[in-house]
Amino acid sequence: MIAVNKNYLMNFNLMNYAGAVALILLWEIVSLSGIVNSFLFPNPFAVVTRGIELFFTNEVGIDLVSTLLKIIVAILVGGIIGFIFGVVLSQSTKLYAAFSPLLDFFRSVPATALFPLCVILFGIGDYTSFALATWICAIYFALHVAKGLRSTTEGYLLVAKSLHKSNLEIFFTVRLMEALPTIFVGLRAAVSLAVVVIIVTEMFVGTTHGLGKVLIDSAYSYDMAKLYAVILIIGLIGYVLNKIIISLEKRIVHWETK
Amino acid sequence: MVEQIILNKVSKSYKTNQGHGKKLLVLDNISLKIQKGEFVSILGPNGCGKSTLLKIIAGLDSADSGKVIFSGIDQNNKKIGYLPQSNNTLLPWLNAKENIAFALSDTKSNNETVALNKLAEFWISNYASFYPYQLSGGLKQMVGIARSSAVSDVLLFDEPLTGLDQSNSKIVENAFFKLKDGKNTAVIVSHDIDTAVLFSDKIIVLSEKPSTIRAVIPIGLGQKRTSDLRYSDAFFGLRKQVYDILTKGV
Repeated sequence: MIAVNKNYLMNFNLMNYAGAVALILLWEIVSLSGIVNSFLFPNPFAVVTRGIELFFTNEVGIDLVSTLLKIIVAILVGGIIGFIFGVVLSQSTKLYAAFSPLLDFFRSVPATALFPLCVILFGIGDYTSFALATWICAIYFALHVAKGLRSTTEGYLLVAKSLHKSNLEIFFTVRLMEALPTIFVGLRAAVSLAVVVIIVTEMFVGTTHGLGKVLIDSAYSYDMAKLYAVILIIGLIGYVLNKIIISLEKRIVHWETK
Repeated sequence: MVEQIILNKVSKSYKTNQGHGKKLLVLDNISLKIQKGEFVSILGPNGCGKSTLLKIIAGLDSADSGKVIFSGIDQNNKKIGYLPQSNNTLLPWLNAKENIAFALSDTKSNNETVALNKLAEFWISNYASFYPYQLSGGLKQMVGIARSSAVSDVLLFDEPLTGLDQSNSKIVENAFFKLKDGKNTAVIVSHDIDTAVLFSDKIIVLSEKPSTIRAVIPIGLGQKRTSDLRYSDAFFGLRKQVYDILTKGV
């Protein structure tokens, strides 16, 4: 007998998928109608079949793993560096005043503008992808961690201080907890940008393995079904990562999402 | 156990934006004694330094000169149940029980037991697992009061009824009547004459800045109080007396 998770069934809302189904139907209709060139615009069935084939023949397996690893490591390393820098900045009003405009400036510099510099510094290949994604994650983390830690509600601090809590206790039990919603905003932005930077650098800076490379190779070889399939896979990566973060946020920052 | 809270010539000034080193004197030589078991309210015009005085008593702000002495206990290890003026005094990521346990420094299970007992003492044990966003303003204040009471028998409340509607005020009033048992000592900063008269054994009226003590008014309404005292002649008389002193010269 198949066990059915009732909660899942109750939460499953067909309407959430109606948009995707409508888009696929429209795509199929346009494709069948002959209005567009079927070579440049293959039907969804061909794209999905090619996508499944890519998985089962392990044609993009190593590229998928490589891209995912680069994204995750960049988020982790950038996150740790940004977190430490954000904590240091949050400790002093003068330090924050001196460095936060600088961080804001670097955040405003498009990561793509740094490609040539990173190629000179780190060479063609994965180091450049990784360095750029880590840089952007670190900046977003530092800004949001500092901002979150500097906006603790005075009432919470007064209560904690009146209870003779140590600065370290106040940091972990009050300031960091209240900063979490802001840190999650930074995390979501950092993850989205890390995906973009890794894919784009894989495409234009060069790498041995990576979905960005597969994408550009498919375009050069006019393997349109593969091109669309990889775009869908990259979209799925971004979508799933975002869903994971939202789910984590709902669990950890439950008071803020109510 | 604290026998007395003594404020000896406490003065406090703040830096102003007008000119280098210019200071604005807020509290000027405030001296008073609060006996164990007494409930004392501090009234005064807006901005006269009532909350600052409470923070100085709580040890959260320092006086420029003068001293606050808690007689009968180790000065360096004094614990105070302080509830600031805000609707945000409960940590939103902790439920009611955890908010009280947070204030305690025993083992986790002991803290939770004390927290549950405190919630029961204030008739709100049903809300133990409720988060602040699930509680009304009055219930939030009740949890805050229960937390303060779990920490110490010296209680400092800054505008505890501000922003509450009548029914929520009534809930919090009941908590104050319960606390007023001769064992707890409380200092309450308020702008509301009625609640000050209702809860207090003594009302301190501060003047405009720089604040000095304009009057100390004893409230002889007995130890045990109820909301019905509001309708007594003695209450009206005291209320008028406090009002006249507060508005003198206005």
